[in-house]
Amino acid sequence: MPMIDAALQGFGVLLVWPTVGYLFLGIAIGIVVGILPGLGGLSAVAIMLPFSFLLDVYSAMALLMGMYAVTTTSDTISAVLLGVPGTSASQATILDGYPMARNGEAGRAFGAAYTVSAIGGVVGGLCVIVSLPVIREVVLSFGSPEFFMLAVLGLVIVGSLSGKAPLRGLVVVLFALALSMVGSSPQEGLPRYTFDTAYLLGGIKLVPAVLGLFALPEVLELFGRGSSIARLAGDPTRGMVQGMRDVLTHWWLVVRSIAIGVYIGVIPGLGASIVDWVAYGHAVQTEKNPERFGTGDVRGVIAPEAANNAVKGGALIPTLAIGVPGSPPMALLLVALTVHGISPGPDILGQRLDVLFSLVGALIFANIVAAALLLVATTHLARIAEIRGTNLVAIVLVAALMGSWMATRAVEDWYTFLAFGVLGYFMKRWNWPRPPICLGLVLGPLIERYLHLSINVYGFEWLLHPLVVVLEALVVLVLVTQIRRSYRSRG
Amino acid sequence: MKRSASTLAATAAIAILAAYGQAAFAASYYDGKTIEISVDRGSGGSQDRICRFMASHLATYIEGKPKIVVRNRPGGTGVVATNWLYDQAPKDGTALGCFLPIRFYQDAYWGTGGKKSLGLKADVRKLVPVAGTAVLTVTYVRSDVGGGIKAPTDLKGAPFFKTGGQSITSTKDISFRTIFDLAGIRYNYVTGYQDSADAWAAVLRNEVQQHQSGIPHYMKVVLPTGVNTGKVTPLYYSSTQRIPELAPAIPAIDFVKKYGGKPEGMLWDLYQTSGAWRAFFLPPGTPEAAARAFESGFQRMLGDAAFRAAYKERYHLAPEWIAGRTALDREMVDPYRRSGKSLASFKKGYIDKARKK
Repeated sequence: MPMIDAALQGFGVLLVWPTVGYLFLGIAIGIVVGILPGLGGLSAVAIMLPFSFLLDVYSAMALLMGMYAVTTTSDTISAVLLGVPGTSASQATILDGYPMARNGEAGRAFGAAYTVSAIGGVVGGLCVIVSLPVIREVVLSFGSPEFFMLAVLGLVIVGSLSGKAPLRGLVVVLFALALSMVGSSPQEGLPRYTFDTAYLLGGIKLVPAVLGLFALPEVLELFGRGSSIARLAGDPTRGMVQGMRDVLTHWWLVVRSIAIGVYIGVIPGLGASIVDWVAYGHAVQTEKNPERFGTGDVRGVIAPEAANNAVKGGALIPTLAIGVPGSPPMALLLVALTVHGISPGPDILGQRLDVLFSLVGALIFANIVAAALLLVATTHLARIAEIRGTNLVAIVLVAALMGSWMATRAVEDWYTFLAFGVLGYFMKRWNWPRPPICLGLVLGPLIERYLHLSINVYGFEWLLHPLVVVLEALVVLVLVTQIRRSYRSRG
Repeated sequence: MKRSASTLAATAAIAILAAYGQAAFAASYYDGKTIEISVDRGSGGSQDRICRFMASHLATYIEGKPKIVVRNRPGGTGVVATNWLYDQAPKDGTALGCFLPIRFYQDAYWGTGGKKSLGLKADVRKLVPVAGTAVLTVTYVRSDVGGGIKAPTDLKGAPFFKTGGQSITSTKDISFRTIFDLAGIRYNYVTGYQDSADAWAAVLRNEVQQHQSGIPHYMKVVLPTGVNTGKVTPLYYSSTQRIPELAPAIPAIDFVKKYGGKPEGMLWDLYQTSGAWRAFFLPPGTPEAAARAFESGFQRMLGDAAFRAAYKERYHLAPEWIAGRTALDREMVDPYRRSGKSLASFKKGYIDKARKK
């Protein structure tokens, strides 16, 4: 099918009823899902998947894509206002977004986040189209050794997430790597550190752990403080406009963060759980005045929010090109496509190019619409930061507990939430960085799996693979930069 | 003669009354009722999707046309759902489980060194199976292995190739290793890929050259992007029946024979007991009439042309499900019952051998 015809058909059908109706329905559901802690795009797509089988292919894709595309736009709300990640992709946003709310700058955080989310989502979608001629080669150039090195690179970024205590960050990430071994060994499938419980066979569940780590300490602090989240009064509308201007001011950071998002999305298996951390860590490493990060710096919102929307477009690329899902929700999208008789690879890149354009169009349109809707609501949303904290504690706690329970719907999810909540409380109190735990839990299994595979397949010669050498150099560069910064800040 | 005729007549009358009674039970019992089917894996995965697909059609074939809802109870690789069905599910015929139970049958009949699967409290032998299917898998290799592979028998004399397994203890890995060993095919055993999508990517970039996929992944990804483009060649599949849609692949038993191997002995028994099954179960203590209502419901469904067409449209193959406790006991459970602990020891040694390599 000629590309122009496919583009016109694919984009055009999104403007026609009922497809446009399903697109807006998907956007609405996605916005709500993103706000509620613990749900995320995967849960939403899994729930709506069976319904999509009953629709025509364009409506089905509009519904699913509309939903999936916007969860990482609306998840900013709970991250900024409550210090609780709405989805796993907004963990890093908390580090500066929540302090901004406390400084009376919630409107500014939202203005920056939604603007950059829209841009990131649009660019991520356009990357799918632009990369069509070279998709296969790019995706297939990454193997187990490259995945291992990417995961190691992600780990060394931990130093930049540890504020002024990189050694503490290192200790925490090693602790988290040990925790990530709970469950079953990837090569043997045998139980490991499960204390004879079936619940731990699947490892420590990330959602209740992260919610406990960040939500419970904030809830306790809100309760203890008694005042509102915002310590200072702010003008939400003026703040929103300022946030949008910040995006223009830091345009180069926006570009780099989007590139990180697309890049990580293209690599199957890395996923949205780390993209925000990598983008945030990169910002801390490369921007001026890094000591301001973590205190309410708008750049600390711009970087992760740009990346976590751009990653969606990136994840589409391997999914459609070779049938390898770029992320867990993409695996479900693949199912929806095949149920409608469309296969990845030559089929969707050739005969059914219109469906590809329809998917990309839905992604782009949904990002713009969601950002616009949420920008309009910014003024009202920002006022939540002025509500007395004790009035919010119950809501936040219930939302966090509900989100935790969604992990496996077992009461043990709450035990995990409480255990990590206690840990997070003391870590916050004694100034130990919490973000490295998230990185360690996500990257630990990847590091173990891909190291084992690399050695099994290649011996040790993989250390000299060209891309691996580049990544090794990057790792050294990041480490050297961190060490130099650490010495400079002391001296 | 007279006595036997009257006995026959009486038996027939009782049978008719029982059948009528059963149908009457079902028709009146399930009228207005809701049946809950628990799936032992999380929502969205292949297990969840196929259980929901079956559930979405089943109500039409149960007398009384009850409402059916599906609920996921993931955890412990099936332990949570199995324990729930055994212990806590209502035993009045309104609860079913859709499980992958093979590991638990192995525990029950072989014993895992005296230790059950982690956290398993249920005795799976007491669950009542009403319908099930052997999970069909297809093994394929890259077409550029050795001098080029176009047919399943072209691996003869091929140099070592690397397999893409999932874990040393997984049924998939044991399954393809046993077939390759029976056929005398040389391979380097690589394992640790997370799932079929991960392994498929590894095959595409030539990191490994072989994998064994379940039918959903094979039909929707491997076939259109690999087999049809000539990149990979399917070798064999796990069914004993010829399936034209999977050509040129052949049944595993034929594959072994074509290479001069003999499908017999402990290695063959291990292969036969390594295949996964997917089945619907009732909790122990469910009324007999309820069990029969489900068996006949599944039988009607599996025999209905409309259902078979819908199944084929979704899964690209005709359904190979069987219904009825007797048939399931023979096909699904008996291999474990017959093989006993000696096969368990053999399996342990076979796994240990892979671990030491």
